[in-house]
Amino acid sequence: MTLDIKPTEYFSLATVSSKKSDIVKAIITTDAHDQNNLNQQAVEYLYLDMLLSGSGTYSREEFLDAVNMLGASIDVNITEGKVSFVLQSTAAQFSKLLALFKTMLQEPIFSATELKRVKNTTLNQLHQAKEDSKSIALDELRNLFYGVADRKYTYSIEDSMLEVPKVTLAQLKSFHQSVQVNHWFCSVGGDKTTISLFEKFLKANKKTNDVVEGTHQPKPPNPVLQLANIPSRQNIDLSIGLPLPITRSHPDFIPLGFAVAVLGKAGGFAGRLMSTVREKEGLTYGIYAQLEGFATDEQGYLRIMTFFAPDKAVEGLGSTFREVKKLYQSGVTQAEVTAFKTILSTQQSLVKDSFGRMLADVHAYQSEGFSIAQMEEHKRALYAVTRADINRVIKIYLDPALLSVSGAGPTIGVQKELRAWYQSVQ
Amino acid sequence: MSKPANTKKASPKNIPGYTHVQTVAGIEEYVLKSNGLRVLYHHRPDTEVVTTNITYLVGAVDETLGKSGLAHMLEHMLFKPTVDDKKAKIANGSAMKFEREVGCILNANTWKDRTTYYFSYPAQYLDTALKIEAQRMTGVILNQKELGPEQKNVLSEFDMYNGDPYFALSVQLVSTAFLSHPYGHETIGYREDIEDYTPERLQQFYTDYYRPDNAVMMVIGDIDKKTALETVKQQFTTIKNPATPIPRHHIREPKQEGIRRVSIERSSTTNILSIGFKHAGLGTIEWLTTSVMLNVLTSGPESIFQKLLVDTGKVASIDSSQEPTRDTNLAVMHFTLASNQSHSEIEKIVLDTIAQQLVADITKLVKKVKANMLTDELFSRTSSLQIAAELTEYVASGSWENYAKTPDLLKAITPKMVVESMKMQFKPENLTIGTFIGK
Repeated sequence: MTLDIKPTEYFSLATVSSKKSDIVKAIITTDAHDQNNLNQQAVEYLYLDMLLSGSGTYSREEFLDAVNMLGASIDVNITEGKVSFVLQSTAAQFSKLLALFKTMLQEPIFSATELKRVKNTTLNQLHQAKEDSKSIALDELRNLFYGVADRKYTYSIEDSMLEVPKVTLAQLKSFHQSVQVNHWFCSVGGDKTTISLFEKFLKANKKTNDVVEGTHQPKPPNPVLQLANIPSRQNIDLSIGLPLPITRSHPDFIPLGFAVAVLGKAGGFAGRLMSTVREKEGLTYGIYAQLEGFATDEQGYLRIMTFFAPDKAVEGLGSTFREVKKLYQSGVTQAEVTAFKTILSTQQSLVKDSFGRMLADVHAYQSEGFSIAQMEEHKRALYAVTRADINRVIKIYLDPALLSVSGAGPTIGVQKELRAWYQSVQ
Repeated sequence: MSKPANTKKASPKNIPGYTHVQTVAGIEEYVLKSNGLRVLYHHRPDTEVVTTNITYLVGAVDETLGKSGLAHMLEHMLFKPTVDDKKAKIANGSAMKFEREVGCILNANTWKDRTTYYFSYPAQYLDTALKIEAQRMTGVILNQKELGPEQKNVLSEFDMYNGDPYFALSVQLVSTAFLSHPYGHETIGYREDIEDYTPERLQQFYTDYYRPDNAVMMVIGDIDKKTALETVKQQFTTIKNPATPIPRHHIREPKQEGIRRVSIERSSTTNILSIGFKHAGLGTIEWLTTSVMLNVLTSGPESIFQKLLVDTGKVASIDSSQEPTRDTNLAVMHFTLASNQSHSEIEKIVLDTIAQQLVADITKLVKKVKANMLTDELFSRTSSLQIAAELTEYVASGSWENYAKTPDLLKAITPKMVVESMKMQFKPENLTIGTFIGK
């Protein structure tokens, strides 16, 4: 398979090309984030379903029928104001799928009847989310790190349920307008014919390239223990972290990523947290650390994600903090640096096993504005990092005294102990 | 597909030490003559990646009362140090070392009829991966020191699942649906059984089921056949099978004579209605017909119950599950109720609607579902990990070659078959209904 990234005036296009392919997958991502407020988040809750609720001469049912009869799919998702369309079909049906996608984008109906239905179903889903302890723990942690104007700040489910009924068709159309006119990051995987078809579609239909200046409002660290009581759960879900005052393009970002991988590489068993808190101490089934929320021009944060049984929560948090403290005080070893470079190399090789992973990989790079040469250069730069670099940034950014803890689950019986423990580590 | 060879010397299937069994859709099956280990080989050139997957034909179905979850517990123990690791002073065990020093993908999972271990890695590590699999087929150390922390991890895993109302209700639902058949307990087992595991109990289970003649090794990826099969032979050929036969429990489920019901009450804002029905095992057209039927009823915005219940605000969401098992099992539709809706009212709507379905009404839906499932099949065959994962289920069902037949079987399903399937499967004597009541 061959990779390429082409910038054009109105969109950029990454391609994963194979000599012959019976299938095709395309991704389009655009940043429609303008401002973060309660109404904007409510609009985003409703937008996806509304977009799939009828286009051109198609009713909602007719449109979905037309896509499904092709054995194809159009999935739409939205995260922090970034909207992604994922188109998937056989190569033979791709031109028909693109025609339907064009209708969906250019002639959405946005009817009052559909809005009523979508508001109703969205309110039911929000009610259901009240017991999603993992998401609640994460949202509460992020809200400690960002101001209300930041795209990473999430309004409460209760406030959102009050706002959803107030959303108007005009607000939804305005958001859709942003999706249409803002820059598109596009990626496609398939053979030359389907790639060429997709490129022609983009050239014919994407003739604007607005950029919206969104608001970004990071806050300095202010360590807090935050607990939500959800009695139906058996474990306390935890998001533990601290804000990091750098962006993805900062020179410290790569060594910091290495440090966090040594601490708790996401997935698998390689991180220190998995080998101690899980393997040696048997306190949790999974514990990982990663950098999240970063972009070229937006600051992110460290997050450790895990869960503990209520009666093990103090012990588990103690072990977690002990490992962060150990990393902060002693840094990483040369053996760990060497091992993690090998791990990195293996992970880059494994991408080649799957058409879908190759497409996702190149799409992530180009969405950050990378060319193929810059992508390769970035991958090479990962190997140049030294133990001294890593240990230097650990001292700057990973002070365990600055960690906030957000927990959601059956906390009511252990809040006193948890607060006493948290005070003791501050 | 490889071209048929004319001469014995040139035959790609004539591999010393092996008997070639069959080749289907580019996947070749061999048996290692020395001990009966089955090997499935599939070449995927130009990826530089290999996935090896060993599936033992042992799962929850082989557990008896009071010993639920043993197969799963043992799966965890295979990541612990082996006898060879101790000799080589590899403190955390070779499998963990391989992941921690190389970064391969490694994992395992246990299901009703099988336990599966897999690695995905750059091709040069084939020998390392197979050596680990061979060592842990017989060399795992099962003592209290190793078992203790892992037992706590499994209890943590159990609590993670059990905190989910859907899982908690599913546990009760299957145990109500099956009075005797071991599919009546979830793979992870009951918390009380997990607490009672001993090293001796695990050792017996390990000795009984972890043996070459009860395993299938898959090698899928960018590696030539000669190297793949030679390496498997080199690592496994000296492993002997125990003299005792593999213990099997042939249990027939007693006849059901009406709807079975179960209920859970918890402090929660969630209310769920779950309707389960028994269906045929994987590898049959009946299993696929059930799959099409479940999609017609519950999958996507245009499915029957999404339109009838979600769009009208009666239900917040719908999920369904159908396990790929060898024997008859329970498929389930979960309806998460909107506020102020009653379980009984939703149950009546669901069962009345199913009773009224006609071929003409669902013809278009069946066509759409089949088209989507066929495209999904194409996409699922684009990585060695996914191919191995799907193939594993067919191996456990008893006929891996049905993997190749799936697209044709799917094409053969008609709306009439789907309606017939609904009529058969939603009879009272085939249903188990559960309610999760949030208080």
